[in-house]
Amino acid sequence: MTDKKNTGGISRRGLIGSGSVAVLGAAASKTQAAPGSGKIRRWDIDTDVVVVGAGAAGLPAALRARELGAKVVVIEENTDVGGHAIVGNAITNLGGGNALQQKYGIKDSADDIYLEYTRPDHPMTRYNDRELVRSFADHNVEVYDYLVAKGVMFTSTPPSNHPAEGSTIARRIGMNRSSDDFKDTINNTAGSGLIRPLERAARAAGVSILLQHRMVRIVREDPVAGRVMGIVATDLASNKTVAIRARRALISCTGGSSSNLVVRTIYDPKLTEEYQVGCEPYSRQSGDSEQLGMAIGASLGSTGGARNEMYLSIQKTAFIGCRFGYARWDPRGPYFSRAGASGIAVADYQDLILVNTIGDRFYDETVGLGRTNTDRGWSVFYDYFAQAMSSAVMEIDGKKQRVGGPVWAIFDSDAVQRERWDPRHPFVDIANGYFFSAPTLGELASKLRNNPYQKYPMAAASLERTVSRYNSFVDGGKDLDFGKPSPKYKIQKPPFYAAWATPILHDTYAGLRVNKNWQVMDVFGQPIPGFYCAGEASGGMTQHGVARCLVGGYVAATDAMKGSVRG
Amino acid sequence: MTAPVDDEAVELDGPMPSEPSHVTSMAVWDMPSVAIAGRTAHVKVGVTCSLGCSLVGHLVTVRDESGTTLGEALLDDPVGASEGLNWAQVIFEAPIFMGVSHLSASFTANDGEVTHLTCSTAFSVMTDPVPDASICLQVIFAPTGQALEDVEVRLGRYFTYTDGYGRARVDIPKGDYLCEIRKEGFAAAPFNVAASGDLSLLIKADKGETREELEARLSAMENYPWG
Repeated sequence: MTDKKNTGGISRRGLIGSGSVAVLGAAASKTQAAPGSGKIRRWDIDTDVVVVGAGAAGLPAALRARELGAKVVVIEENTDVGGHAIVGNAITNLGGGNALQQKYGIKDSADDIYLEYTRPDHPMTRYNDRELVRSFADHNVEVYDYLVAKGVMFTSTPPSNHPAEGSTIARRIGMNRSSDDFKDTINNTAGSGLIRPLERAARAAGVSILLQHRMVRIVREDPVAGRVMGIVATDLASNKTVAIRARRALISCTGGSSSNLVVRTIYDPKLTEEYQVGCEPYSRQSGDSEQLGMAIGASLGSTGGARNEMYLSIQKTAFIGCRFGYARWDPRGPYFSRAGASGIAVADYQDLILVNTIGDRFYDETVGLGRTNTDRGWSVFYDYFAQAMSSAVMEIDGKKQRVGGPVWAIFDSDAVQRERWDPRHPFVDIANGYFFSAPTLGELASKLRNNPYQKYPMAAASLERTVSRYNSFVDGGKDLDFGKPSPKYKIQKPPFYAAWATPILHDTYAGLRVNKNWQVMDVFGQPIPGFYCAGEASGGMTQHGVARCLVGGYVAATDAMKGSVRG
Repeated sequence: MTAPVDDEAVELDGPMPSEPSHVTSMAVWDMPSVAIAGRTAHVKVGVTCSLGCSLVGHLVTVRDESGTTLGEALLDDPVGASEGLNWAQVIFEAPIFMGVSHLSASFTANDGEVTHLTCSTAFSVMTDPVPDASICLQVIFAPTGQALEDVEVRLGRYFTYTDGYGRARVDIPKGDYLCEIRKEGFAAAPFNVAASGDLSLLIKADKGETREELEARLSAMENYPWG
C-alpha cells in the first residue's frame, strides 16, 4: 500500500489557511470570489504541471509529465486515488495493431480506429471530433506500450469487441485486479490493476499527490484572457485554500460532469437531482473542469455525444434497493459505508413492476439491462429512460407539471422468495430511505415520502390502482398498457416492497472542447495557453472505458512539455 | 380519544387540532392462478390500521362489479411477518363466465368509540372451464439426468412446482400452452404444448445463470444485449 499522507516532499509553506490566498478583486472575501477573477498575490505551491484528478487520465498525465522533466503536483478530492477507473473494470479499448492484438492475429491500424470512431452510421461515433479521434488513433500503440512498461495489469486473453460502441475490430482489453486486498482494490474491482501500478510509478518518479484537495478556481492571467497560471484548491480536511502555480500547464482530469446538476442539465434538462451516477459514492463526475473552465472562457465541445441516447450515458440500475446501484458495493470494502447497501440484482423483471414518482407504470419493465426486446433495436432503451424521467405529470399550484422523481420497483413477498432476495441490510438501504416494506400497498405508498427524492406523496389509491390493473394483465396474460411479454406474477402477497430503481447516469460523453493535443479551446475557437483537459471532462470523443482517458492524459502531458529540456 | 386539557394553555384561534384518523388499508392475496367458473374460490383479505389498532372481528366483504356480495368473513389476528395485518379467508363462488372478472374487497368498521375509515381494493380473478387434461411432467438436468426439485413449471397461466423426483402434475383445460420452467442455475427454452388430452412431458434443463453469476455479470457491465 502506498502512503496516502505522502505529499511527495512538497513544501507546505504557506498552507496556513484562507488568509494565505489573497484574492484581489472586488468580490473577494465575503462572498465567494467569482471564479477566474482576481489575481493571486502569493502562490502556496509552485510547480511546473498541476494535474487535477488522480484517475485514468490524471495519473498517466502526471507520470508522463514527470518523466519529461516537470515538477508535478496532482490534487485529488477523494481520500484515495483512482477516480471512477479504480471502482470500474477499466475496460481499455486500445488497438491500432498493438502487441496483444498481434499475438492473437487481430489486424488493426490507426486508420481503422479513426474510421470506426468517426462512423456516420452509428450513434456512438457520429458526433466525434475527427481531429481528436485522429490523434487518439495515432497514439494507441504508443500508449499501450507505455502502460505495459509501467506494469499495468492487462489480461493476456484475446481482446474482444463491443459492437454497441460502433467498432468491429477486437480492441477491448480486460484488466486483472491489483490484489485481493480491499484497501488496495476499493471494491475488489479490476480497475485497480490499472490504477495502482500507475500510482506506484508516479510516486516513485516523484509526483506529488495531494489527496482531499478540490479545485475551486482556475486562475488565468486575465479573467477570460491570457495564460492559465494555476489553480486555487480547497483542502477538504482542513477547509483551507491553497493556491498552486502551474508554470507550464494545468491538466484537468476531473472525470466528467454527470454528478454536477448544473452542467448535466446543460446537456439534458431532464437530468434533475434524483439520478445517481455510476462509480458514486467513491468518485464524483464533479464537472469541475467544465464549470471552472467555462468561467475562464473555455468552450464545451461535441455536446451531441452527451445525449446520443445510446449505450452508457444512462442506464437501468443494476442493483435495486440502494442509492448507488451501478455495481455491487461489497460490504468488505473500505468505502462501503458511503454506499449504504450493496443492492439486490433482479434475475427476472417479471417479478416486479416499475412505477414513477406518482405510482404509475411507464414502460415494459423487461426492457433494459440484461433483459430486453432486442427486436425493437437500441432506441427502445432511451425510450425507456425518457419515460422514466418524464412520464409523471402532477398538478402543482393549479398547473400541470411534468416531473422526474424516483422510479420504484414494486414487488411482493412471493417475488422475494422467487428471487431469493434477503430484504435486509446490508443488501438493501432501509436506513436512508431507498427500500421500504409494508403490509399493504397503501401503507407502502405513504412510506415512500421518507425517501429524500420523493418530493410529493404518492397517493395510495394510485399505487393500488396500478397494481390492481397489472394483476389483471397477469390474469389475462397480456399487458394492455406497455406490452410486457406475458406478465407472469401478480403482486399480491404481503408484505409489499418498494426498492429504489431510479436510472443511473454514467459516461458524460461531452465536456470541454479540446484540440488534437487535448488543449482546451476557448469560446472563440482558440487554444487557451497552459490549459489541458483529458478524460471524461473533455469533449470530442464518445467511447466507453478508459482508453480515451489514458491517451488524452498522455498526449496532453507530452504536448505540455514540448520545448522542455527532456520533452 | 380526547387530548388532555392544560389549564394554562394559551387559547388558540381557529378550530382545535382534530384527532388523528384511523386510516385503514387493505391487501388481497392468495388468489388461485385460475378459478374454475361457478365453483368455490377463496382469497385472503387483510386490513391494517395506521394507528396500530386490532381489527379482529371486523367484517370484510368480497363483491362483484355490480356490487353483489359474493362472500364475507371476520378478520382474525395477524400472522407471521404480516406487520399487523388482521386477515380473513373469504370463500366465494367464482364468476360463471370465462375470462378476467374484476372484483373488490371492502372493509367497513363496526366500531364503538373509535371510528376507523373504510377501505376497499380492487382485484381480479381469471376463470376457466373445468380442467379436462392432465399433464404429468418431470424435469431433469440434461447432462446428468438428475431430477430437479422445486422447479416452477408454467403452462400458460397454470403453474406448479416439481417434487423431490422432479415430477409434477398440472390439470388444465384442453388447449395450446407455452411451457416454461424457472429454477435458479438452470434453464430450458420455452416450448409449445398442444394439450388435446392427458400428456407426459420430460423437460431437459441445461445449466443456467446462478445468482452469483448474475451479480458478477451486472457488476462487470458486460454482455449488454444491444449493439
